[in-house]
Amino acid sequence: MNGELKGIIIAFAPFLGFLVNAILLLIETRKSISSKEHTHAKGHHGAGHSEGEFGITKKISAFVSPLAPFASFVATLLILPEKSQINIFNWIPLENVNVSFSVLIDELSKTALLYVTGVSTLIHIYSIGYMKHDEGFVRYFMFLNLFVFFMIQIVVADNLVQLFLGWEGVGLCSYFLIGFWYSGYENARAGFKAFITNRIGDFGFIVGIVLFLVYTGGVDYNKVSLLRPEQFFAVAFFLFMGAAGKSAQGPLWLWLPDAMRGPTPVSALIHAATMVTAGVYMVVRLEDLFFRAKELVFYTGIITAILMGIFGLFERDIKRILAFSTLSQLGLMFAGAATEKTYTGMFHVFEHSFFKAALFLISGILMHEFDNETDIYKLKERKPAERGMILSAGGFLICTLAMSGVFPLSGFWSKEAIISAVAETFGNTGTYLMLIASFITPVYMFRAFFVTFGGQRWKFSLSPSHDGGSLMFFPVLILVILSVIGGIFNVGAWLGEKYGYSEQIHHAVSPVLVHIIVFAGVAISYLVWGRGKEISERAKILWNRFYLNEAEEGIFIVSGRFLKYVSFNIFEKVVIEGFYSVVSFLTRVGGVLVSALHGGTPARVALMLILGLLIALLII
Amino acid sequence: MLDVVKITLILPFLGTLVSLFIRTPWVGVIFSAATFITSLIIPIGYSDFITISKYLGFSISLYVDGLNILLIVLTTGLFLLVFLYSLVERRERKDEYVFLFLLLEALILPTFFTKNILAFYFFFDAILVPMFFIIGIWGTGRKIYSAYKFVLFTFFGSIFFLVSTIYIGKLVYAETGRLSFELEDFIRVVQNLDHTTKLILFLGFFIAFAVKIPLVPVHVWLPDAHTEAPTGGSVILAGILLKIGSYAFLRFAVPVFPDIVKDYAFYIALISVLGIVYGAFLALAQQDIKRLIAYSSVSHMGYVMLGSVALVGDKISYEGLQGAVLQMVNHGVATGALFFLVGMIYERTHTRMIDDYSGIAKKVPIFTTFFIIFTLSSIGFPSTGGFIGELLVIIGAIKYDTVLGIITASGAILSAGYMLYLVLRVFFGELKKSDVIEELEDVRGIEVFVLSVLSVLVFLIGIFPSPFMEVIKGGIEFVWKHL
Repeated sequence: MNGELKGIIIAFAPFLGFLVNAILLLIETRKSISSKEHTHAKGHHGAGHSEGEFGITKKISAFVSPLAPFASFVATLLILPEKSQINIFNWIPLENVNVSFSVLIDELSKTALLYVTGVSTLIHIYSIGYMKHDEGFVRYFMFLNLFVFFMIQIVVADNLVQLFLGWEGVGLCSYFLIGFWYSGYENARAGFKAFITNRIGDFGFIVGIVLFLVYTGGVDYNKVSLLRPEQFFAVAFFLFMGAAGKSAQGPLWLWLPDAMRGPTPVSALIHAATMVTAGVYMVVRLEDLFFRAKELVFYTGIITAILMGIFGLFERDIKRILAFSTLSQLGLMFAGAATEKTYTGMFHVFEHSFFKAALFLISGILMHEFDNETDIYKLKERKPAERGMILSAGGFLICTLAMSGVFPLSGFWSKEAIISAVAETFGNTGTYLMLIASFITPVYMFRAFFVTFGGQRWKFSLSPSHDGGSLMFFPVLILVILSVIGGIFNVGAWLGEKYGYSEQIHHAVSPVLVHIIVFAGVAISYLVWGRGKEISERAKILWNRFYLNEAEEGIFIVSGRFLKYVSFNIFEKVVIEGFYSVVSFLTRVGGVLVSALHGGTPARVALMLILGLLIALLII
Repeated sequence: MLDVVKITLILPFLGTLVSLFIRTPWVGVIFSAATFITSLIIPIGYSDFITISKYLGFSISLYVDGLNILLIVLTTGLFLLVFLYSLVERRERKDEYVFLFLLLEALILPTFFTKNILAFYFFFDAILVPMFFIIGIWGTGRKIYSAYKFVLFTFFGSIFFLVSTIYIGKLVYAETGRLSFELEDFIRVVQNLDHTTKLILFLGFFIAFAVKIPLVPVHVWLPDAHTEAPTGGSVILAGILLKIGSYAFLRFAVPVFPDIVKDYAFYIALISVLGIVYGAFLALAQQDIKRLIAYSSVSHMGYVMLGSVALVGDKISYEGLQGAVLQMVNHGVATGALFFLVGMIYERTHTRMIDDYSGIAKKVPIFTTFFIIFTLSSIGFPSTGGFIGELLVIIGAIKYDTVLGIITASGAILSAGYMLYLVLRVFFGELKKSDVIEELEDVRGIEVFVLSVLSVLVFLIGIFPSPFMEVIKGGIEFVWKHL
């Protein structure tokens, strides 16, 4: 098999999966229409047919859907030793340059492809179990496959426009999947909110792309070097808006917690492991550009990391806690990507994808088991650990440790690399901020762990039946194992080598110190929440996250309403229409006046005639 | 000599005659299908004359290049779909409907073919007649008011156009002793005039086109006419009639008054950008689905106009022109399709108010899918035609003036705002409990066919834009040649 074919399989296998699912969905819809008519004709009502039933379309979908990302995964493994750039076709011909549709295979894209396709495959398998009883099974997999397709476009693009295609594409799938259960208005609204927030970022992105094009005469990544020094910041700033939107950084964070309304595997795949890390990927991909705006990237990232960690403390919904932790970790990735060793950011993306996906999937197992319960205090009452949900409890602990960066789990390696790189590039201020962020992570994560699983007698049982059945059990098991051994892939060293750093971790901050800080965090968490009690709920301002979400949303909505009111009710209706009304009124008045001249008795006509003649004579 | 262009022009006229005697909607389908087929084989680069009067030496030129060929095919194609849809539409006085639409097609087509400005003027205004009756007879709500508003506004604009045309025609006659309203003669004569005369003459052209496009603040006829017109009427209004204005700007106003266009490009660009943003906010304020889409046209046509005047150096930028022409086609396809969709649901429920709907995605999944596809094109989602058009216009705009370009790009947020907010309220949420919604049936048969054709086009232009852009290139050469 030659490289070109492998590249095409990587890029398009999930799209085939999407098409198959789309056809299946069409068949399903037609069937339900005809059966509805059938029952209608016979006078039977409410014959609730395929609901919950695992029909043939669902079976085909369950078979094909995981196969699609898996094909990409296998092709990625096969292409690992190679490096290539395949031009598939010329997409948009501009005046002097073509925007191509390509597959770029290099170290960076291979790293990203591995976790994107790998984690996708596992989550597809998990989803079969999770969504088994859902009516929208086929629709779910259709969007999930489409998502993987667009995500791969982000990774393999060799130019900004193709990147933008993937960028908006994953956003669209995210929109559909957040609002998957669209009959709930709030779910659909969360999807809408995510799309609009992302669009604000994408507005910056498109401006960035066009500025890049105008300045360099092309849209390929390798044109970065043609930018003049004074042009760097503007381009970087606008493109970073896009990155901040997709990765929910800075003021654009507010869509991600609401995005948790989608099915849990979606949260795991899209809103934790892959899509939200696209911003980091872009920063690393265009490192020469963003290095000129490194303060912007670093401080946005680190402030988000600390703030969102604090927010995570004041949340009772397990999925939203994980969402805040994702936001916080994404901040750390940006911090790493802002350093001279940009690859450290990507390294953390890679390791993070395993433990964060696992954590979400575990919360999904809990929800599945306990009637969609997400409140950690109510989950505690169901005593999951005592029921022998050992994978859930143990896996949660392992992944929490990994996220905190405990040796020798996967998170340790990447976090350590980021701390060292930050210390080198941003000196003391950067280091202190990093240490604060490292301290907060274990506090809020162990809070979730202690509350959910603490104070119970753990029953040991490694049987899939306790943990959601084999379809959900094994993907989680694999992810937990990867969270443990993630370090051995040594992706950091591999990437580091590509970037010409032979000695990848230069321990600027002693790992021992970091561990002391981390365990201090665990200890505090135990002291406060170990008994399962909550700190004062009267601290309203903290529980409401300083009303930041409400304030931002409010400003957006109020200004939108104000502008539409001014535009329509005042400007359009009063000023413009008013003007035309006046004109039409004057025309009518004129019409009446003139017609008055013509009508009437012969005497008046004669008078007018004489008057007219007089005027004419006077003028002459 | 009859050739393919002349057959294309004659067929709809023939159809109008036939429809007087054979009273079935199939006449419309057959004649518009034949027109569509012949329009597909029109050679680019075609150039010929029709002699009207040998004694006066008056003839009308017919000309086809990259600027108009796509619009011609769009016209014949959309008319075919309108006639196909009329087969299943519930509508009174159907044979008159077919007659008027065939007449409309017969009158629209010459405006795209001719380079004779007087002939263009004639058809430009003649279109008002069938459209007036279409809105007035089959419209909804304040249909008579809307029909009058539409005619008065357009007619107001074109009076000035006629005056300018006759004035320049007189100059041509004085110079050559021939009666000619051909573009080439106009260009030659006007370039020797002084700046003020040129400006006044240009305004005569520009006001007529601006009303048609429409630009803010002469757009107020549009929401009423588009909203109250019957489905087919809205499709043709939005899909084709608006483009006659923007097409004529590129075909006539730019070549005849190149230096005026260059001098005042910034002001035209400014009102175009204003239209993009202002139109979007107007759309956001609407409670009526159809009116919302009508206002979105104001915003979208802003892109077309902006692309048409985005200067780079002393030329209009390549990307801007590409984007302008492509956006005309995209808007015709996507907004035309959205009007079809609104018409289909209106026929079932007899309401267009957003508040009368919610959660209907469950009830009408196929309808929903189509609506979202055209929404995506409308908001410029990559892989749809709308993206290519918008991207090209933004490139042109940023090359012209960075700040204007950035404001233009912000239209992407606003369009996503009003369209997806509409989708959210109509299709998602809990299913509305009302009799009409309970009984709602999904699209089927010919409806699905019409929508499928248009959605294939949306993605075709979005994914493989190069053949389209290659064709448009010829049109750009035309514009550049005269700059």
